[in-house]
Amino acid sequence: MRQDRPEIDNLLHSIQQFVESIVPRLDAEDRYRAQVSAYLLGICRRELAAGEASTDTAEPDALADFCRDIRAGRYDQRWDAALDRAMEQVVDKVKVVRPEYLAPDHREPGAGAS
Amino acid sequence: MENPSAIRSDAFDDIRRAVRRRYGARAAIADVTVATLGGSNRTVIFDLVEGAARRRLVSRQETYTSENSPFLPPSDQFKVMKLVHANGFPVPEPVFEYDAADGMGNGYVTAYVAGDTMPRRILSDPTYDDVRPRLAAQFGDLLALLHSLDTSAVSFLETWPDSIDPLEALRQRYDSYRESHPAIEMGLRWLERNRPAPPRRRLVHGDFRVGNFMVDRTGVSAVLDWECSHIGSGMEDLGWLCMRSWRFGNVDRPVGGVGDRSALYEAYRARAGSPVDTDAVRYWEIFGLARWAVLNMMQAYGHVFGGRRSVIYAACGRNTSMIEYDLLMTLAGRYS
Repeated sequence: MRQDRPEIDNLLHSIQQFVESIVPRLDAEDRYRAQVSAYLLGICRRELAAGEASTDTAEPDALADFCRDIRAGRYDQRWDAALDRAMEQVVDKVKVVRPEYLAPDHREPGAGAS
Repeated sequence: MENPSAIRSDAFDDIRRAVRRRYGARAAIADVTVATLGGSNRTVIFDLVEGAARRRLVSRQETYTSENSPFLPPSDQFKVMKLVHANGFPVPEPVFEYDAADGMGNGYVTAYVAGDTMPRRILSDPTYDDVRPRLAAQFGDLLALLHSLDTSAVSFLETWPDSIDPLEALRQRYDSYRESHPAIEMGLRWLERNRPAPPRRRLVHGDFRVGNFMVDRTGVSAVLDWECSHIGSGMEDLGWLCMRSWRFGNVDRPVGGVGDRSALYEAYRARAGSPVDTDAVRYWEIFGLARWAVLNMMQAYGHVFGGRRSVIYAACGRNTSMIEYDLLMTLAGRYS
């Protein structure tokens, strides 16, 4: 972590709050882009907070192998196991993008707010 | 001696010239508004003034084309719109196409149709409280009409990849982005193994959903955005319409977030004369989720590699994960 305050999450959050604050002053097209920008900043913050501890970023080769196996039909008789494994990766992605989108049993305990 | 018309720099001179070429030197344009700027279209709304007569028109110009575009070129869209309009289907009346002599690239002009396209308003604004319960049935009736049309006037659509095999077209598009998405692979594998029997081939809108309907207090006044039309199973259109992504948060109202399947299917059956194949609709809903995920990958790819930078396209790339979630939950039988 850098020495000087604020930390990176604070930097991003400060920008996010500023962008959200100017939304009412913008015209329709810019307003939409500003809302999307604030949303992307939230994703950045959650991605940084999640760090390296997620199946989404781990082992790109394993991911490619898994995909090849699915396409070749090697999971046809182990369909539920494949669904579970694919779901794990997708849930990790959605936790960073919009955690409240997940069904309750896929969320972090105590999570759900943006 | 300066040319007076060269001094006035008018952003809509090109449209004015195109109008005068067709309606005579005394035709004028007035009350010009720009509906969208940027993206891949320039949309301008204006009044065509001929003496005492005024008619509101919409000009659409393609400002960006990509080699890998899944979308019909404007001239093909225009032909499809002419066919459906001639058969009484609610679509803005196609008025004229731009040609090479206009120097404006590809595009066309249609009549302006009043109404609202915003999903948020259609789903919850009190203005539409009376008509909302009737929309699902109207969607069914419209799709049955669309699917009944003789496609010989648009037979050129048969060569489009989505007409030949939409699943193969989808797989190739997904592969072109060279990413490993297990959720999409699961979708593609399921779709490959569960292909419906070859259907009667219909004109398919390809993006028939809330967001592309002009709605007024009487219902759907026009169906827009024909750039995804192709020939295929009519159930593709029903599946896309009922997809979770197009319920805009009203997940327990499967038809566009406004209605029930029974209303949609019954209205479709009433006009089509045969029942809806509900298994096929589920197939094409799952296809739709895979397709929508890949289209979001496409937007992100264009943002990162294709010079079409926009925070909106950047968000599409990350939103892919939520569509994949819906896809897996649907495959798992948890969402319907």
